[in-house]
Amino acid sequence: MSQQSEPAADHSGLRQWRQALWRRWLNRRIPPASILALSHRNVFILPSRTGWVFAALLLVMLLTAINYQNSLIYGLTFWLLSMGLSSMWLTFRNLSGLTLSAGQAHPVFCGDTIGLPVQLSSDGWCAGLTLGYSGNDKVEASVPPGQPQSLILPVTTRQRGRLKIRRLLIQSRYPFGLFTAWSWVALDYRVIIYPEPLASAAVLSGDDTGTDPDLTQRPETSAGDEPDGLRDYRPGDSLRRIAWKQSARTGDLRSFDTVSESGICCWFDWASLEGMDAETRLSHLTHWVVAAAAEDGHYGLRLPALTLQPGQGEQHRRECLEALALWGDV
Amino acid sequence: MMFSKTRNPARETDMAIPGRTLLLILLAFIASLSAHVLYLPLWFWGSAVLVLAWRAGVWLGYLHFPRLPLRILVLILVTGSVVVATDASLSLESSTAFLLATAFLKLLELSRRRDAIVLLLLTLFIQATGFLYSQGILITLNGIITVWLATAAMLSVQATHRRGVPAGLPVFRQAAWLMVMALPLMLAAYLLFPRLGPLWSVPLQTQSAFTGLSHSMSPGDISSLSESDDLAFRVVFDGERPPRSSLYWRALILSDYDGRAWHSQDQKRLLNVPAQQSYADTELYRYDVIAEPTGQSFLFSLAGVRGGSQGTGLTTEGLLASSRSLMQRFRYQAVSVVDEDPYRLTAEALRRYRLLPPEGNPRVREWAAAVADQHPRAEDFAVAVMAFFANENFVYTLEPPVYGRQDIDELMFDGRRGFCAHFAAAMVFAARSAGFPARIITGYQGGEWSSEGYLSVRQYDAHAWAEIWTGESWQRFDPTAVIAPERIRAGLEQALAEEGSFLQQNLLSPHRYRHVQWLNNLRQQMENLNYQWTRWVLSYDSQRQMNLLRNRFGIEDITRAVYWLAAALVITMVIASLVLWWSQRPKAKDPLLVEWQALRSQARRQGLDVTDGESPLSLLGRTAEAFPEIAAQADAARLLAEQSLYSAPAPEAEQIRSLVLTLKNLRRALAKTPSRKS
Repeated sequence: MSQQSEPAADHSGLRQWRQALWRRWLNRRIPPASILALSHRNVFILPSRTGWVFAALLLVMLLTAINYQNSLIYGLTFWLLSMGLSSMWLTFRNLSGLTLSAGQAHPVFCGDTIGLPVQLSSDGWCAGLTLGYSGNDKVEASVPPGQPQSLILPVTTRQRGRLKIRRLLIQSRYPFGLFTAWSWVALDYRVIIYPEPLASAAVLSGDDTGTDPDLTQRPETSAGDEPDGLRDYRPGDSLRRIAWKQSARTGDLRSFDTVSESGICCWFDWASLEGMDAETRLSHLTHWVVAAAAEDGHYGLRLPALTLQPGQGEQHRRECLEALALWGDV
Repeated sequence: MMFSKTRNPARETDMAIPGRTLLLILLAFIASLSAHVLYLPLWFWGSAVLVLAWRAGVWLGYLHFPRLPLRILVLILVTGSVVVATDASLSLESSTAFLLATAFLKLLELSRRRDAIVLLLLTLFIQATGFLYSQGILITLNGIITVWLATAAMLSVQATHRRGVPAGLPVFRQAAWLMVMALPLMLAAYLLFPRLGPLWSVPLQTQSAFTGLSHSMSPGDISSLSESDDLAFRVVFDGERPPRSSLYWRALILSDYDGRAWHSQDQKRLLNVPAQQSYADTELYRYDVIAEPTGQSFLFSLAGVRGGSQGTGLTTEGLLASSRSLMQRFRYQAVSVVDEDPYRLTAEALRRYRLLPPEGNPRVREWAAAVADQHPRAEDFAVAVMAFFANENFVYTLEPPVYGRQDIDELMFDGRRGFCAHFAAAMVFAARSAGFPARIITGYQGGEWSSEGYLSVRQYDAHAWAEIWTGESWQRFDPTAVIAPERIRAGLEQALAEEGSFLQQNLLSPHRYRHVQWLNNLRQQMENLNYQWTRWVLSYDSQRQMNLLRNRFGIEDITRAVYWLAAALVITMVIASLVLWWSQRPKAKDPLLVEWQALRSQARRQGLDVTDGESPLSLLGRTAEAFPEIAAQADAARLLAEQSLYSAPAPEAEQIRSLVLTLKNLRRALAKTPSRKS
């Protein structure tokens, strides 16, 4: 048994070593960048399976020409051969000369599929392109000269934090499919993946004021008269907080001021989630932040060595989620 | 390894084919069939149309693709039909019929990208096999169109993604451009690739595929040949042209008579006589023949042939023949010495040429014996028989009566209507029954001189005549020449002018309308073109290759040619790389952009916090604030930049230049100010 398993272990070790070597070589050859122009440095090309079938067809045709002493078949064979060879050049040129630039991606929660925007532009036709990250759906595109194409490449995220740079496979077989030209492009996306939200039954720890975090409470408004807790609209207020009826009456935008009205405020505290590992804690905290933000709550976040004072709104939510995503990262 | 990830995932090749691409594929496929149209039976094309209709129905949404059991059933049916129709023999027709049937069945499952690629490769191969049947200039053009359509279809297939073919993709232009781009390398390979002999024997066309003479002849055979205007061969004479009345092209000697038909002996042994030896002291004809495929080994030569070029030889009876059957067009040179036949006959051969069946045609036998009594010498006897033909109102006709068992008797004394084969047979029969050695020669007589100086000989020029042994040599006697002198002088059309039966069955033949001037001119132009095509392109073989390479390019042996071919390949690649490098060389940068980048990095060095997204105006404004020493300069630059950026007509070159200069000055000034690093 041991004799059988040892070579296998050796083999996988060898494979890992080879892959590491390959990755290092690739990183040197095609370093990550947010804009990359493909050229002879970073485009590879090999015959495809169709290419080998075509070669076999040409061989059969050549043998036919020889055995039947037929000049026209000679001519046809050489013409096709010559076109096949020039298609190698064209397939290469399909990628070489193509510029890829990373767009601005929007953060998602870990486990969700993030759409990474990429723009392709070229001075000549680049047809029949296939792009995609391994393990994810491929996207097809053709780029007419001078008409940049924007694509969204899906990637399923598996880790919170800054999105790790991964290699994107871009390939083309145009014009004839006889050759495959490809490149492994590392596009640098500055985007943060939030931790995966995890609902929990755990009781939220009350803060110093001991307020129970009733996240469902909303300011009550009675139709007709202006309720308490309205204030002038401030940039950054969520659309849901705008008191549309009152705003329409006065012509000025007014927002509900939940804090002043109900005084609800809660702390989401790392320390309250005892006996869990760090990632689970982060997930629970993420869930609370998301839930509180959905209800437009007023909340603060306490992490070891980091405290975010209570606040509300889009900006606050993002800061909290980023803090959770990047916790322990620095 | 990692490479394995680049191998195609199944779903990429599983893409459905859009309508426009499908149409292109079908057009290419149909174009590749045209060379095969005449060589496959009607039922085949009937079922082909059904299959096409089915596929069109699927496209329009009325029908579904047939399910697997049905497809298998159809495959068995078609294979069975092909096997039955071709008698299960391995011939060129049966192989191509099978190839075409497979391709047609592929249409019934043409739904995915992979199927499309397979069908397009099959299309190219079908086009190639079409060239085995015909190689005229029209078929060649047809082949070019097929390649064009197939290339465009391939482009369309490869560019297709889930959203369809990208709009505005110029597939036809790109395909044409690709084909033109490939021409130089193709020509190099065509000229330089060594033309080898056949590597192994291959299935050939069946005999029935060819029109032409055969090794046995019953009297009706030649007249059925006269219905065809197919080309038999073309000749160019090097030097003197023989007169029309001497253009007796000998192909076969029919010496054995079984009472109904005449047969030739098997001619296995060829004596190889090089044609290039000199015959300085005798009058001779040198000629260059391009023979159409006959499926047989006989060649065409004038009487007194002395030898031919490589691949030919003389039979023991003194005819020129090829060492292989003519499955393809064959070009050869030959030399004939005028009016001389050096062949001597053995006693055994003489006995053979006198053989007749013991019974039949008693009246001719009796008559011949009587003539021979008066003219004991063979030559005199023959002249007397010719005089009989000349004087007794024989009629040369394509529509002779049907003769019975004593056919030669009836021809000579009752009907007196016949065609060349009837008269030649009668002449030989009479000579043999009088005891003189005699034989029928079949071949062609005459031909049509073209404006470019070559002679086209067609199937309707097929002819049969007699040769009689005079004791020293064989001498030609052609009864047709005395019965219908126009046949020899002007050709079949004139000979049959009264009867009007020339190419009667062949309504579409352009030769039938030779009296229509413009049509005739057009036909002759086309023939000239085809002749040049055949002479320069189609008959390019190892011998002509060597001649060309030696005389034009100074390449002495074929190994050198292969080196040159490799060199051509390398040179092409180098040129292609250079073109690619040139088209993607770094473009000259916009001087304004260059200067702006330089200014930004200078500002960063001086301690200003420069972010990527900051607008020029904002950065210049902040510079003015942060560095009071150069505030005036920065403000001026800001104003100028504002004018350039927002001026309603695009800024002129002069304005841009002054902005660049201002920015440069600002940068220099900035470099001299103390840093604001906190």
